[in-house]
Amino acid sequence: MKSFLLRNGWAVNPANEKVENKDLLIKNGRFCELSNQNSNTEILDLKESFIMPGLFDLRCHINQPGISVKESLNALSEKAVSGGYTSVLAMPALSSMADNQETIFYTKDSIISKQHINIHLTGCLTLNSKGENLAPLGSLKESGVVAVTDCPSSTQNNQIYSKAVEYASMFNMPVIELARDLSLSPEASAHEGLLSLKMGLKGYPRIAEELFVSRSILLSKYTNAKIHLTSISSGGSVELIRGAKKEGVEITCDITSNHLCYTEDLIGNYDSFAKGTPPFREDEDRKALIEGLMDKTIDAISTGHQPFSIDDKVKEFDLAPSGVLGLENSFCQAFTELKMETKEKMLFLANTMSRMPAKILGIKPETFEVGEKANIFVFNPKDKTNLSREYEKDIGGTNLPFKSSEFDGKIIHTFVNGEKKL
Amino acid sequence: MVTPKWTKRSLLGIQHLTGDEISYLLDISGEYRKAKTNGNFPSGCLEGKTIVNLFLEPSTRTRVAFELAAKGLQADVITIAEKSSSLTKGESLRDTARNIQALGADGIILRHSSPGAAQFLDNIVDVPVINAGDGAHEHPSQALLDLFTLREKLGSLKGKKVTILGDILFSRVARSNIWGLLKMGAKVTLAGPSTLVPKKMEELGLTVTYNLKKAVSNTDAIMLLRIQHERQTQTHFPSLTEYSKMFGLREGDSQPDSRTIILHPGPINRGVEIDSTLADSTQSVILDQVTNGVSVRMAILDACCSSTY
Repeated sequence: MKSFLLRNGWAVNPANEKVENKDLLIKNGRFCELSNQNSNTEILDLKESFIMPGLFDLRCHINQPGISVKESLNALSEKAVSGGYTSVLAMPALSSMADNQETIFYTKDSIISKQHINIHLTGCLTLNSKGENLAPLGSLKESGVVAVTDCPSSTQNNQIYSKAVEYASMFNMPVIELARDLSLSPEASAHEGLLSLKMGLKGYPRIAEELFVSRSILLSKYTNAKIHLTSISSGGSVELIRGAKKEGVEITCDITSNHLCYTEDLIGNYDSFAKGTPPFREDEDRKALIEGLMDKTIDAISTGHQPFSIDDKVKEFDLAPSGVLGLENSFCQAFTELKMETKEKMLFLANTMSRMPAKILGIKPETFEVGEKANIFVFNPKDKTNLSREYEKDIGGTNLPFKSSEFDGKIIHTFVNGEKKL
Repeated sequence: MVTPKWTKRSLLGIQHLTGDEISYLLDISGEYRKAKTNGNFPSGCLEGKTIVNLFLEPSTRTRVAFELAAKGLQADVITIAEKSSSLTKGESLRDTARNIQALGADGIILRHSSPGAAQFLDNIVDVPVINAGDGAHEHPSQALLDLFTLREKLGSLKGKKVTILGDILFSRVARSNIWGLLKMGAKVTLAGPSTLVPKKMEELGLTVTYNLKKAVSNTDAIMLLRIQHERQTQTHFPSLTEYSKMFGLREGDSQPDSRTIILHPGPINRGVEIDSTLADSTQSVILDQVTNGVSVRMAILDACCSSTY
């Protein structure tokens, strides 16, 4: 394995909230004392760029192994490393549903062993994510899942949801919930508001999310279960979670970077590629999400990466599946959107996109300590990143929510377990 | 003589038309209507062209009116209904439409249950697309024939009061008419049960009321909408009987002024949205609407499909 010496970079460490100018040596996949370099060490002059802990995505849909037409594992990995992600949490809809040990074992053998990027697995909360029977959560934990969830579905039956949460808490396993009351948003394909009214689309009102957010808050309060609400989208949800946290309820949540940046306006022309899960809402929601992120009501930023092929998406708007990409755009998007002093912002993003996601799952966050695996990326804030859907066609997973966009900053290198992938 | 003011290839909705464009279409409709009355029929502006009626949702009057209009302009008309199309074999709308274009269609008239379907089609094919109803989004030809009928009966629509009554939420007819009426300068009131008439619609510059008496008194026209209780609305109001009691137009308490004209896009649920006596009264212009429907659709086909593009 090749060794690298990273010189002249600013290492961003959210654990001690420091940004330090220091050199890092990566050898045999791990950080090493600088004295251990030899003549084979490749020296990278980072020219004052930032060295960030590798990002950890809390919500990634991978459809693997098998359904590569939506996005192959190679394509997914390529996007992840180009976006600074070294670890992702795979939602349980793999090539088959992760509601049994065999699927978990098979998935580990067939994709995780390939070591493209670090893939952590979730299991289903209910069998086949149908919300009718509990999945074997104990066995799933034994086979190595780090959380359970029915995302992108949500268990509708309150009895089953509360029992599942209670049962999962016995194993101290976080439950991830994408809050949506289906009965209040049947067949919805857009945020319910004036725009959906004009467009004649069935609406997904804020209350459909907020009611289920409240449900999780109450359950967490009464059972002390570990619930993580993923991809909240409504300003009202932020308000509810803020109140719960003040009360001392141990609940966590994330938003996707796309929801940080976009509103329902993206679908104004019936652009089915911009149909998000959950839908993009109004600017007042977006502002409330940013505010929640700033005051730590929102713990983390995820990608919500949900790949589809062109054939999946080029359909009548209400018939096209919902879901947008996020792995390659999230970091630069968040960097562009948030207005803070650069070093402070790097620390903030390292915390919300790398450290907190790991902590929420009870996994040790990435660090630069000697002996640890080197999962990092290098970011130049002065350069630019251009992304567009056309580019996507070549490597599968075509559904960026925007047609093309320029973001501030550029990711120049990514190391996964010490291996230089970018 | 009408001066040409039409530069669009397709007619996808009323929302993006200007007042002038609407007036232009209504003016040509008037010419066709006159020609028909005077026996100067037919006009051959679509001679040698093939118009495809792609109707992927049930329809009687719209489909027939478009067929008659196209034939009246001497076009060849092919009608494809959902059950006889390759869509039942799993072909996507995109492929179906591209095949129809490849076979040489000069225009496609689309009826589809998905909002935005006409625009979707317009992005894919190069020939004109005419929206004959896309989900709850728009039904421009219906709105144009309603506007034509209103203008015929009331003169200029500027400042005229028009009430749209019934299921606004799920209605494409309501949406297209709202845009059309507002662009022509009419004052629009929406009425019906609160669950089917969102208050938020007031942001478009109109009035929403849940008081039937207020909605039907002192107004120049009432446009009734069909209540589709068999489909989407079971959860939105209790029953047809309750609807009829609360929002049905009938003689007595909720009777409109005698000068008020009554429109309905059909099919009517007699005794639900409106009593038979009122539906058949001289105030009702329901059958005029149907007749005007052909002239208006001739105007649409003429504007979109007759010129070379």
